[in-house]
Amino acid sequence: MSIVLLFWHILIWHYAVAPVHIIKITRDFLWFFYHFFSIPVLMSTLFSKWKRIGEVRHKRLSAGDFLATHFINFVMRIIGFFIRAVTIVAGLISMLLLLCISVAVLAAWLLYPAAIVVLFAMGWNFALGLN
Amino acid sequence: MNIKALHISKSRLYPIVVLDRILSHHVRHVIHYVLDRVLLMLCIAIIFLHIARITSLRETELFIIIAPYISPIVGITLIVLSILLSGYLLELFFRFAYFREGVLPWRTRGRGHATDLLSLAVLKILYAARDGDVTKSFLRSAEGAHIMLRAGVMKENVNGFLSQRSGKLIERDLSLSANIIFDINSLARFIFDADEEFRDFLFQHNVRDSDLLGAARWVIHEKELQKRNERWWTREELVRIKGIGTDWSYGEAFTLKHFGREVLESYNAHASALSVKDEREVQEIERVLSRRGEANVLLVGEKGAGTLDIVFDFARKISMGSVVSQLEHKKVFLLNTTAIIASVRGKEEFEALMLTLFEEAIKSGNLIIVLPDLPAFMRSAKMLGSDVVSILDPYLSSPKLHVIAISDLGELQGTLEQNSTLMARFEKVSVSEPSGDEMIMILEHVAEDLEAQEGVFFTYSAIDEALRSAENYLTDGVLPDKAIDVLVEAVPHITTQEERIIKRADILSLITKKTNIPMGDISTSERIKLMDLERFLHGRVVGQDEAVTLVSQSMRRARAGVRNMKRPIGSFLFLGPTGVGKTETAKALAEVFFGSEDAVARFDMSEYQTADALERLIGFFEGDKVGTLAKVLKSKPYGVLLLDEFEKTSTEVMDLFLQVLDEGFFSDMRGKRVSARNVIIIATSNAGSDLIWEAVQGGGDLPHMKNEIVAALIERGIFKPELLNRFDAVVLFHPLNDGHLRNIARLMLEKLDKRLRERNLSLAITDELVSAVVRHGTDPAFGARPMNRAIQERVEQMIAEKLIRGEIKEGSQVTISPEDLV
Repeated sequence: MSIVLLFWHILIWHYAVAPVHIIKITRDFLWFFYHFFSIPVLMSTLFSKWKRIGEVRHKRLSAGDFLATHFINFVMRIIGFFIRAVTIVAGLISMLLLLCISVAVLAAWLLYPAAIVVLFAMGWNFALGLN
Repeated sequence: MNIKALHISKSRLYPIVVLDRILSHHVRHVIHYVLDRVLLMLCIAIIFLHIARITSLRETELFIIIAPYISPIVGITLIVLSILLSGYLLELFFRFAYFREGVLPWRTRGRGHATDLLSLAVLKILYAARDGDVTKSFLRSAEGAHIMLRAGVMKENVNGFLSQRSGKLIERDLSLSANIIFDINSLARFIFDADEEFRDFLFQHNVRDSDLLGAARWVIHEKELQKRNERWWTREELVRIKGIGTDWSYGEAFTLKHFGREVLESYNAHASALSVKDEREVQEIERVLSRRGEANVLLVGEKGAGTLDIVFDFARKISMGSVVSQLEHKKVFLLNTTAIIASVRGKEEFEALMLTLFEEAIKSGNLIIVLPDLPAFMRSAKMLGSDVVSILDPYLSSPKLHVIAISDLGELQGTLEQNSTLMARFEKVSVSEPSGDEMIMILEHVAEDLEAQEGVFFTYSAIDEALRSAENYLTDGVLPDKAIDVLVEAVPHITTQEERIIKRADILSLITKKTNIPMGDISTSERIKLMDLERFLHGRVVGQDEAVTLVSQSMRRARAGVRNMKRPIGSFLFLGPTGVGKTETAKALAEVFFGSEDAVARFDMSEYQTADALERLIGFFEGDKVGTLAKVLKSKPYGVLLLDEFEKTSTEVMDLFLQVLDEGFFSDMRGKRVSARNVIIIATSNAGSDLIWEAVQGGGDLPHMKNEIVAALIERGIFKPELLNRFDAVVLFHPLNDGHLRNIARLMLEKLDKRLRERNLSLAITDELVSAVVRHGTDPAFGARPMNRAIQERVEQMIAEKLIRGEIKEGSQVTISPEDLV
């Protein structure tokens, strides 16, 4: 079997098949980060009480109790909002970073065969003192 | 298509195979290893030279000598780097093909070459065999060698076979089906069908086609699992990593955590692979729990049939986010009801704790509570004086909480279905038993775990036999649980014999050890005994040639493994007068087949003729009382079931035995199956004795008159024809003549002599003594039955008196004259 045919197979795989898989893997990792940071859940419960910690309103309530209950619940919502917001932002940054890395990897992948040829040629020149 | 004409060079994977042949995985690994280090050293050298050039070191003599070589060193570094990058690219190319081996390429769907359907492993084998022998190439490949080992054929045997092999498979046709990958399993089947020499070799090692194909499927499955674990970047693997933040909107359940744990936490990682059942039950649970209100599931399945595995599958489905929106982010929480009961001192404390736990569950907002054995929990609470159902009812009707309760079928019918309030709150989901293939896969996973833990190796035939034997011979428990127990017990069973490979024979010997049922290869001594069974039985049973022959034939069929496993080992109706050897035959049979007379479970069926006879045998539903027959068969599932005076029992009981004789089981009062498939059923009856007497006295040939006598019994309404037809054989026992009686007397006296010899005495058994015993111990109505009493009351009594009077001394022979017995 000719080396040219093998080379041809690898080239087809490299430029037609593998890039699709790199994109698929990127998509899976984006999905993973999206769910690992629970972005959809945290968005939908952004202002919920932190771990449902709070005061229960009693039937016969004095003004003081009323204010205290609302204050504690308000504090818990603020804490919940803050932690969730930080997590969402961290998740979005991670996804953005992943996207940037994936674009870089894809670019490097497309240049990979050319890089091998260039490196070899450069090395050859250096070795023979042509440079 | 002929293998030769297959043109494997046109396959999409051919370049990979050729490359792999030239540069094997090992060689590539070595090249990478060396080049990695060379490159590292070159880089260090370049950095050092660069530092030297920009510092005062450039003035040194050494640098001046090296300076002209800097450019070639950089050049070599770049060349090494480019070679290494090429190597990595090739490796990725290989790995891609390796992971995508089982995936059909788009080109093949209608357009590609037929050989694109060959898997990488098959292509490698065919490539290696392109000038020679496919079978040899298969057996020499890593996959082939592993398959043979799983099939139970050792490497040295395979080598021996290959060294003597004469034929080649190259000219045979290999058919490729459209759009189906031709993998190692297909190749194994092809070779088995096409290569007679190979087939004979396998038969010599007791490997059937199903064993070879099962082993091949197992090896492929192992490989697929290994690949799946290697591919950590796929979504299926990433989903296993638990996310952060999903719990932040739900409350904590501090008290609950003391009394249980999340289902997903309690299962090990391998358990995910164990879940092989189809998803019907999981989908049912999802459907019920996604309802608004009264969304509770009663999961009904036998203990050990995988009910908790289904709950685990459901929890995993939730964690993967592939459930309906109402169930997203829910946690499945397994409550430890035993710990709850153990932690309280009384009714009040129990009820307060239950209220706390369920209030917490509601407050947390994302819990699905699992009660692992609801009937047992209800009973325990009842003992504390509390009614669990009334405590749970408000929560079960609430849309805020979901409960999955587990029960087995017997408990459902016996306990839960009586409580209509409870049943209204739950929807029943029945767990079906896994199919045969699913159970084999479960057992394979268990075997792999045991192999990793214990350093043993299971052959496929051992797994297959464990499942078959557990189903046929182990009456307690359900599948696949009891088959798993067999595998677990097989490990110490063989390691004590300093073996590491568990084969079919090892499983059979373990089952024999557990049940006393002879199985596996028949040893020479056993073969002699089986072939001479009639003589052995005649050592205890005098005369009755027909009975002895029929029983012997039946036992040989059972031992040869050609019996119907869905029926008792054997079933006989012995008809004949009293004292002619019916019971003795049953005892002799127990001794020869099960190794001891103790294997006989005897029922006097004359005690079961009242209206409650059936219930006394199978159990009373009220009061939960276990029946005698159910009890005996559960405690002694292997042996001889002797039903004396069978004709005297009630019609209902006879109808029960219609099913037992036909299907080998009956249902007890709780609806649970009681197996009688590993017993020999012998029913005895005196019915028709008068006809037998008449036939014998009239000089008739008893075996030839059987049909007439049986017809007469049916006519008299003693037995129904359908019942008689269900016995393997109806055997007529003829009355004993003088010769028979003399033989019996002699046998009994020999037994007495044997007992006396233990006291250093002996008995002179003379013809006169035998005649005297026959004279005193024979009654036409009772056959040889009074003979035992005659020996006891006369012979033994006489010896005892002589001993006391001092007339017999130790070591002497006792002689008794007929006059002494008068």
